[in-house]
Amino acid sequence: MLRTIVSGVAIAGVAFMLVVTMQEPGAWPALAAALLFAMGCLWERRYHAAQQGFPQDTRFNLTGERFVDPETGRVTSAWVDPATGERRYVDEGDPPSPSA
Amino acid sequence: MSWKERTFLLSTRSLIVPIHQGRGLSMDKIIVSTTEKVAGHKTVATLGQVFGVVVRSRGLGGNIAAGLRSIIGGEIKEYTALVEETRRHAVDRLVQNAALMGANAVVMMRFDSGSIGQTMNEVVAYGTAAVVEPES
Repeated sequence: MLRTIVSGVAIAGVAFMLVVTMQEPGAWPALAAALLFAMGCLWERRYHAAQQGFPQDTRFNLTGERFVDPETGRVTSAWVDPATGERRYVDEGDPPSPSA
Repeated sequence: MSWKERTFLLSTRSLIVPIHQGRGLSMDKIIVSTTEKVAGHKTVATLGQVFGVVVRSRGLGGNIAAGLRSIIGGEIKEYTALVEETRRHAVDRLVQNAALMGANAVVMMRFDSGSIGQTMNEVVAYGTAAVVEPES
């Protein structure tokens, strides 16, 4: 949510600098800086998020490792291909409620 | 290192995987354990140290959002997500490197972490690559 607001402000900054540059072409370095800032806010390389559904590939076996993903709050399990050591994370849905 | 030593090391490294896989050991998954011994298993070979190292950072937007969130305190979710991603990445590399060595277990696994600059998070997962088999 907060990151969306930051991205929105960055886009607004680009739009503002675009208008300024159209009226005063000498302001292009500020437009370039605003574009760079907006790109930094919009694009972020994240590590692979959990996949929906279990791996169809039979190479993968369940490791027994399960945890609640702090970002999504959902139960995630880890799968591994023992031949290559490649691991995958699978979204298993919402954790059981304490009353259940 | 002479070419003879290098050739010997390369040849022994390539032999490790076929030897242990050929013994019909439990290779359906790679066990990662923080203990010295894996319960119900005996260690039949210790292959050496294995590491998974990674340094990650949030992007500009994530760092700004985290900075704003720190004004009022509480959990900084952007950095919680960063540390979680870094942990997973480090364990993934550790397990991949263990598989490369022909291990089916990593024992005495530990994490070490640090920061590089103000926004980069470094995590090292390390342990001992081993071959274990179920105790009969």
